[in-house]
Amino acid sequence: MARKPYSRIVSSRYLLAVSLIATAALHSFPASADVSVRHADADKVIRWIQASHFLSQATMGPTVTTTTALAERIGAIGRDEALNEWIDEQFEMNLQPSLVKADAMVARDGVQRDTFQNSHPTLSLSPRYYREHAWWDQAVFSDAQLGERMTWALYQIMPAYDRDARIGWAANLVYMDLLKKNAFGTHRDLLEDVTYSPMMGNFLSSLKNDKGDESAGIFPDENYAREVMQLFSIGVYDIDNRAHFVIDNNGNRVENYTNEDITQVARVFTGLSNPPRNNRQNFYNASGSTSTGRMITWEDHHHQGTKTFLGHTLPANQSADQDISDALDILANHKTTPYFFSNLLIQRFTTSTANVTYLRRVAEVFKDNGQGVRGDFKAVIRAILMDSTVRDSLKIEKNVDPSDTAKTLITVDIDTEQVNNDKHGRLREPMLQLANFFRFFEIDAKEHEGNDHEGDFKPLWSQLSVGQGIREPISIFGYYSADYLPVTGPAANKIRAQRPLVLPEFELLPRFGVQLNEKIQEIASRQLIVQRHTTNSENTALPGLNRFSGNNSFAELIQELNIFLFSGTMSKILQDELLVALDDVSGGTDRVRLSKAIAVLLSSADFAVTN
Amino acid sequence: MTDSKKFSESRRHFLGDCGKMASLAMLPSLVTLKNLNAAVTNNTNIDGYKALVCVFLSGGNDSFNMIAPFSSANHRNYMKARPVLGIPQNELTPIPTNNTNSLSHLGFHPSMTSMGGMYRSRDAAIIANIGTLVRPTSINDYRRKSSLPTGLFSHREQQLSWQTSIADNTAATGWIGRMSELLNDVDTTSTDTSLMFGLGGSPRIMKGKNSSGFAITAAGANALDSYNEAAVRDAYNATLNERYASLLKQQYAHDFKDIIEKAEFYNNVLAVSDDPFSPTAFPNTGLGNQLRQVALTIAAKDNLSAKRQSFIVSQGGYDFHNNQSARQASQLTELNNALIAFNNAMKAIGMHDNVVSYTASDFGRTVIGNGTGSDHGWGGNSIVMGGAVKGAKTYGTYPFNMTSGGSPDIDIGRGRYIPTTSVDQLHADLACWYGVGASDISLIVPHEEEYGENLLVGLFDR
Repeated sequence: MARKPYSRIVSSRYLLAVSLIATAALHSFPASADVSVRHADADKVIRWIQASHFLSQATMGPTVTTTTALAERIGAIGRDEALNEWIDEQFEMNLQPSLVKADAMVARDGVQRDTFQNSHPTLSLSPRYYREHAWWDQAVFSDAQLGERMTWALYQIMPAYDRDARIGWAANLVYMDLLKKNAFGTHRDLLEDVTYSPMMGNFLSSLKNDKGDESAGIFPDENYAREVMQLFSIGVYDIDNRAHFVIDNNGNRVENYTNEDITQVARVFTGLSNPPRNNRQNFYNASGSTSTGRMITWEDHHHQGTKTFLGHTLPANQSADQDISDALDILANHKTTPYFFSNLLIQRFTTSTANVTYLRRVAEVFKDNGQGVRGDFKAVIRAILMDSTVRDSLKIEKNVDPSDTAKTLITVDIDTEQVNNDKHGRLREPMLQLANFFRFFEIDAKEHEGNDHEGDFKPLWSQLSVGQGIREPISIFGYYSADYLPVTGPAANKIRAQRPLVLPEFELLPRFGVQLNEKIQEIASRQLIVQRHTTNSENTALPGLNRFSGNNSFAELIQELNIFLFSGTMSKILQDELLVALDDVSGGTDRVRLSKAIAVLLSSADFAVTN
Repeated sequence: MTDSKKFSESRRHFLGDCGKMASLAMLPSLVTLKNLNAAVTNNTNIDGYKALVCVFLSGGNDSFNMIAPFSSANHRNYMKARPVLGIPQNELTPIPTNNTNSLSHLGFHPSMTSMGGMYRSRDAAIIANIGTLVRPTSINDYRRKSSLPTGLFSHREQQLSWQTSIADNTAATGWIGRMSELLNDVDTTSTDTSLMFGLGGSPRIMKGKNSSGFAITAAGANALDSYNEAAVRDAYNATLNERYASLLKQQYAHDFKDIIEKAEFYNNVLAVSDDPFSPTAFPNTGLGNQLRQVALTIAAKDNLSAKRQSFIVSQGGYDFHNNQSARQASQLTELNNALIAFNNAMKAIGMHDNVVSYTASDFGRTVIGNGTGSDHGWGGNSIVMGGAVKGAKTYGTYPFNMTSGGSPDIDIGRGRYIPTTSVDQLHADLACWYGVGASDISLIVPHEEEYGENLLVGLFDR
């Protein structure tokens, strides 16, 4: 499997593209322009913009290489055909397990995974960093980008982690790989795997959840019962088949279930524990699943009574597995699940606030993929990415450049008529912004091939730390509140009861916006990532940045970023002001000035928000 | 005159002391100068300096173990209800409640090594069985689902209800946000009269109609270093002043600019202000470092032109569904050490009488456990600290009889207790102390009328 999607060979193909753009009269754009190119290149540039726009939603970040390749197919067979073809290819790709990667990384550092838990004398890094590095390595460098993006989406929806490292070093990655396995599966299968996951069992205390003894005052633990309904399937609030929240006479949303439902569902998830390692182990101290296994059910510890919830009753004396299977069927087939879960996925790929017609269309596909399968993620992902609301959200226009009639002026902005309002889009979360940066500037993890660590991606944790590590969700609610809306500014107070505006990722801005900016500037100014290793420290270069040097480098950078990373949406005023500012920056080598330019650009609204 | 009107006026009289320091003659002219959100402001005042600190214990603290029944019969019942989770009597630090009757003693958790002393020396008080309510709620109200808080027992909704003080509207603004805006409206001389600080983010408690708090961290505000360079600043401003067609881009530009400007302002002020605290004054823990930053910000109040400051700090990880005992002990040690350090720091800078701190949490937990842990409950216990607080007292009604069926009027099952004191009552009391006048209390606590003459908890001398 190719480790890096942008080999040197492909880079040379890309250089043709840059020279084409460099011929543009870079300082002569009229105020309204975004891209001015030779007439003959206009349609090609538009295809680049379309490809970049799609890849910014479907991957961990567009690159020049992936964008030009996809644009070529758009030119050959048409936009939607090419995008569907790309999706089909991605569905067939193998998602390499992160645990395999992590094992290889620690093995190259001379240690076998099974020989340590949370520390090892010959590893200079705390082993937990290998987990993060392995996960990042896959997310950023894998060719199976749609699967990686979906895995990241699922992790944000169902985060489980082992903060106290009580169940073994590898468990976090085993859980990540469980999500990978289900990324193109069904919602029902995902629910089941998550329910039996020892990681989730540990995190939401369904592991070793006993049936209790009500007469002795011991009740089943309600934790997993609550969250599997609230966060993984049906959601707190009733939703009608127009995708509106159901509102009562007082104007409040109607809740989907009561606490009595939860206490009943809690009985379902009793009896789950590890398999025994030997015949002396019991329900409470069984440790046989280790980090790679799956919980089993212990019938003696499963609640034998009936379970009545959400209008259904499971009969008494069913096996634990049968109860769990029936309960998950009820949740997966609940009427609000297609709307609730589709909306969660839409938020991770395309828009924080889906207009109801878009959500309805996706939810209908969730209900039935056309072949009678409910919750088929392949069909749902395609519906999310290929909906006309999303694909035509940018209005791309070409006109003769009034300042240079030999050129075509291409303008790109959100098409507020097409998407029916101006609320469409999402803020790239910090992890995605950083991944975009690494991918676009070709962080070269193979620079040191031949060394004992063979270019493993092991930067200092501080260089990745933007609050979205595997261990860093705030709780089972993830990295941000699903209902967050800023309190001041243009979007504040746009609340409607039926389908309010929400902007979850904006909640992270006060904490991580500035940090992210400074990390990017620091990495760019040094043009390297400091790599940690058992025996020495080495540098990993950003060859994508080395390209820009000499006269016109800033203009080239801006032009390239605009088309390939910003999907043509970089505001003219930003381009102009940045060029002026860079002339004035004091005391800077080109590299320092370049890094400041990149920091400003990647902190701009035009990059942070994808429309 | 209707009965309710009469009732309402008698309460006005009762609450009148809230704003007795106000200069009533002056205020009408102030009102005319300001574009008030509030129609009426006749006795809200901003005399002196005051600060409020909300210490949020995220995840749902098991506060019936933080403060447990101590006296023999009550403790026996408690151990009967909590055979696994309960704390032996000889490990608790006994404290008296309101009266001298030793049968009503409570005990602090063994990790709270300083709280017994702070309580007895009147630096701290307890509010028992407090929680989110829309109105006073009986067991029959609960069964009829009459006016219940939204999302009971759910982390997110209950955290929001504590912060909004409008338990049936999780989309509401925060109670401190509303209060801060009111006070800023009353003071025409400065926009910085009442400042709000969210340590680590922008929590709902600080959300007002048109404002939000400064987001700072335990290390100060996240400032953009390169913003100090004029040319780079121009470039940022170009990107952040753009009028975008996209609402999200408009919002992003607004937020980013707001963040870097506020951070720059705050850090510049803190840089020229004194640090009166020794390096060891606060424990080097998450909560300790947050409270150090709070203390530094209070010490810099004059440079920040603040007459009122409010803070929310948080300590996460209280959601102990299993293995609770050891883990809660370690959490409460961090809490105890941070609170005593903060109390001492306020005394050291002469601010002890001007600052009130209180603990809040998502909910209390089920008294009846699930093995080695407990589940989401409702009412719980809070600690209130500060020189102005009438300490060494336990306010509200502690549910002493914890046996199954022992508190039938409030136990909705498994020792999930209907709160007997509302979050709203605590907030009304704090708001009165902070300077909100009787006529304005309803802006801060919209459901205030539900509590009649019992609105105020009575934490302060008036």
